[in-house]
Amino acid sequence: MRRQLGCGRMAGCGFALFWTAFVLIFIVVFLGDYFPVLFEDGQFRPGGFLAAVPMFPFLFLLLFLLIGLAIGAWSLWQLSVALVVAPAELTLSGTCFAVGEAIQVSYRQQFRRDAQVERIELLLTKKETVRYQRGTETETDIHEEVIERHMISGPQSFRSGKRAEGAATLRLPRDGMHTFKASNNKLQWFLKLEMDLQKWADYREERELEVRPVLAGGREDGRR
Amino acid sequence: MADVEFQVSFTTGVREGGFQHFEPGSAVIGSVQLDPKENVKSRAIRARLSWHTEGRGDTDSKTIEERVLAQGGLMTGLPQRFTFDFRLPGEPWSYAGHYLNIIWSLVITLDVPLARDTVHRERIIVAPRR
Repeated sequence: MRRQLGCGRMAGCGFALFWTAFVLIFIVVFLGDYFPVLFEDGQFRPGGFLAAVPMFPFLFLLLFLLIGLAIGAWSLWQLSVALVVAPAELTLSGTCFAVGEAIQVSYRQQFRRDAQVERIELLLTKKETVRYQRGTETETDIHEEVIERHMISGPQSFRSGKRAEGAATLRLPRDGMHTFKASNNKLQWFLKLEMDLQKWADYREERELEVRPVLAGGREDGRR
Repeated sequence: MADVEFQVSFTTGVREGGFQHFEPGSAVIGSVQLDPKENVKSRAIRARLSWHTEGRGDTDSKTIEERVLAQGGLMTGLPQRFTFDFRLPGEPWSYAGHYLNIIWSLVITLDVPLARDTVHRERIIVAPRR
């Protein structure tokens, strides 16, 4: 399963839009009573308006508006990386892997603008996700461990229309564990692409790897 | 809980580091000797092969198979031996991680009416040899 980490950023934009709109409605309703003061006698009187409006509730609502705008701005900034690079093309040597198996990865990515790259790296990670009840709340804890990393590119400039590309072999550890998913506990493997850009938000992509309960070179039931 | 001593022995698997190791998909064959220190009225003596998780998360568990080894009680000074024979699935393997551990057990239960059951857990390791 492929997951470009922009999904969370788009959700952030949506949330910020909803939040800002909601707060704006409150502000308009709150200030509605004071608009006649703003245009007293047909003249624009901001001083009279500000003197009439209760400051504490107004500033409180303004704070919430600023929070919504900040979330929206941050989300848009994170999404702006799509202006710089196209989605990465990651090709793997398989869809399912055995424990201890080598994963061949080839990578290509087109640049849509001139950009300065700090690094492009492929990572093989193992993630434990656990869920538990704490009182009436459900908590989720995650522990992610980088098993192996491969540098595709160090600091380098890319012109618009050019492609970054590379290949890597990452190996699942032979003393490792297969993918495990239960109601409250999961162990998953991921291939991650990390691109750090100067002056732009970073590009991140991850793809979940299905690791079967079999040793590389062994039988499906684990026996040799 | 009834005062009973349990002694589990295996005829398959390999003993290593204080635990019996089994390959995924292999047979778990052995016997359990029950040595009661008092008369025990029990409805049944059961053996169950199962795994469960331990660690920070709430417990997940699964019973692979359960068998009734015998029915009826135990008498003081009369140890009894019962055999069991299970087949392990291919997964999950035993695992010790940061937040999550997966633990396999052979669980012997004395089903005691109107009282807490007497339970003995024999932990095993399920993992391929590597």
